[in-house]
Amino acid sequence: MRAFLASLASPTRFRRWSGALLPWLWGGAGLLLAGGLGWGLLLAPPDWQQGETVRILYVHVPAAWLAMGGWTALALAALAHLVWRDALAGEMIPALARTGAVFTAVCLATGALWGRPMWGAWWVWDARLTSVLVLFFLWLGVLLLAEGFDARERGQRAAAVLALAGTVNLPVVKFSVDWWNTLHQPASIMRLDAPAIHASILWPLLVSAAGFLALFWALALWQVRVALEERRLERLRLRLVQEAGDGG
Amino acid sequence: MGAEAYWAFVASAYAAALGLPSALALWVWARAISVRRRLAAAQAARDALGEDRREDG
Repeated sequence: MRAFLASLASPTRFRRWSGALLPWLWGGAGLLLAGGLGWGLLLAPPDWQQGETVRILYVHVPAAWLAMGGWTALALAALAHLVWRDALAGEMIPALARTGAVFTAVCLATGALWGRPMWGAWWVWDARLTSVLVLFFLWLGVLLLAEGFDARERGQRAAAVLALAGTVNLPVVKFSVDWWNTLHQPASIMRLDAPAIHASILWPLLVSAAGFLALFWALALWQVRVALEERRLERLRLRLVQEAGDGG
Repeated sequence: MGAEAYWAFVASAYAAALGLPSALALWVWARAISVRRRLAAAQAARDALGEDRREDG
């Protein structure tokens, strides 16, 4: 298994498999998002209490899942980078951080746009909203560390440490609605028993979530490919300087 | 609040959900183009250096 993962993580192999996967991810994201969001906007019924605003669910919930799921992927990349000094995992860290920060921002923005008509407030300092805001700042912190050092390897290692430490926030986000009395509603889909929402809302949500998942990975893998090209450019420039020096 | 106002919130949420990832995609695309261009320039400089050497030698 370790050998298989190591072979996938070689930059040449990564370029090959990610190049083959990316068109499918982009295409899948386009189709699933068109289907899921179209279904949610036009066909799914309004909620008996929330009316039309329930349709914000089809963008807010996938973004929230990706904010947390993305951090799990980040923690795994951080672990691989710290334990095996895997260079590709190091490049995954800023790519995931940027993508995760964007999806967490989407979660916060769409949450505010849902909160205003339903709660009468754009923002409340309840445990769920506050822990997601902390998650957003953690994403930014990881990104700043990963990109902020001249010695890239050092920055990526520091970012990996923060990524692992920040994992503590994930159960706080998930269980904040159970541990504290929050204005945000408790979990209605990811529960030990059956989901508490009707199938007519659940299915378009799952299709939309699959679309956002494909979009998340398309963006992250694309950034890693660009970062590998940048490393190639740095090596080429270094060789050019050395060769020019040898000639003179 | 009327149904029309509700739809305005829904439309804003969808615009944010699609707009922010699209902005990131645009930024990555611009970065990819810039890197490709710089790689081509560095490769051309390296080829020119090799050619100069061959002519001198």
